[in-house]
Amino acid sequence: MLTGKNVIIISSNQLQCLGLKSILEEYFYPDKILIGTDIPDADLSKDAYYIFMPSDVYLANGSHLKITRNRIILFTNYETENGIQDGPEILNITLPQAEIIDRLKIIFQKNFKGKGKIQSEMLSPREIDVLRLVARGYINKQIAEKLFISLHTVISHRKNITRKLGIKTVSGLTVYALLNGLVTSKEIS
Amino acid sequence: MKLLTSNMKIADAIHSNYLLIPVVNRFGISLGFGEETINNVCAEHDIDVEFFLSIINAFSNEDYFPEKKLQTFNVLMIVEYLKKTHKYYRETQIPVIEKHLKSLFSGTSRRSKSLILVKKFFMEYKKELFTHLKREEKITFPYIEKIYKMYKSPKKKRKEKSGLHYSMEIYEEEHEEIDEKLYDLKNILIKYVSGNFDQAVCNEIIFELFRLEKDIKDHTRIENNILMPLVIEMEKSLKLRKK
Repeated sequence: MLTGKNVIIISSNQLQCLGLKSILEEYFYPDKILIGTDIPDADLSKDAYYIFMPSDVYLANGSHLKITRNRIILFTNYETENGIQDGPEILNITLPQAEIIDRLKIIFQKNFKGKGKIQSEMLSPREIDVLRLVARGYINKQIAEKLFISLHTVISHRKNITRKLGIKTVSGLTVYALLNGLVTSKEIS
Repeated sequence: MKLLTSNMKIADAIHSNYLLIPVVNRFGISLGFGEETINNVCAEHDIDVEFFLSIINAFSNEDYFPEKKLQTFNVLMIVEYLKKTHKYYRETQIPVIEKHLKSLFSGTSRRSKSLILVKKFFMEYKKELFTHLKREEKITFPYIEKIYKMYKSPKKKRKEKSGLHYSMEIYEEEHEEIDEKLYDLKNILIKYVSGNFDQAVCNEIIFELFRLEKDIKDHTRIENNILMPLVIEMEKSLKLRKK
């Protein structure tokens, strides 16, 4: 998901860094992961993600960072609503691993979509809704009821999904949804 | 593509399309062809040369299908060939893909989630394919053999009832579902799986999947276009005789 992108982890806690590094390597395949205790001087890449763990360095010096805020991820020790519009992404460091992975997926996915226009074949938000339900084993009629749309609309969404992805079978679509973090394996079983 | 003919060297046929090697193997012909022509090899192995040519030409060239010609062949010969392709999928082609998948796993120190998903999907596909093959062997082929026997011995009184034991539509639907799954598997590997695993092995798997897809397509074509019309033809004439 992060192929070709760099991640910079800024933390004073070596163990936490290594833990996060191994999660990123296993699930997101970034090009390079840099670890440091402070924001690096050199502008490595505008595409890089900056992960602060904990968030204090960011709070002290973060305003120098001239990158879009949604490429900044803060790990905090407190529970928080992801409330700030266009602000950095905030994750609670005490979350279980699976949830951290899911949350990271959503964050990375967001940016991928945000770059949007080139990828005209990306699924629309509504198509993603439909796909999620397909992966969770719902049949068209149930999907229509759940999303308050007509059966006809569901069918046309499904046609578009298959056209865009080139995946026809339900099991194939389920694998796609899992690979891209649109559903978790828990939701499926 | 050039049409393969009986006076051609079998080695040249293979040179023109190396994917024919496993097809030829199904007839009991193995490597080390020397300068033998197709004619000679077939005679040696007691194979109907016309049938052999039709199968290898059909395999090499999708547009080639001597339906008229093939329809004069012995139905049992076609069934025999189809059985051998089943055996090939089960004992050679699928195990090869499984082996590659396994080495893909052993190559990565950590268990990659996407690889696990791909493997699961493949196992599901394998299960469906095998169930389908088994059903053909248990129900379809014996039925065809029975019909053929009845057809060939007109004088013998027949007590058994004829009639297809399965619906042709279900049969075709099942083929389609299996084909689509294979396509999806390939597509997912090509488009959505990335990570720190051995790229060469992954390519190998994709090549094998393409090969399997082509082989199964050919197999399905023989079943649907040749075998089924023949069976229906025999059934019709049996019904007429009854009256």
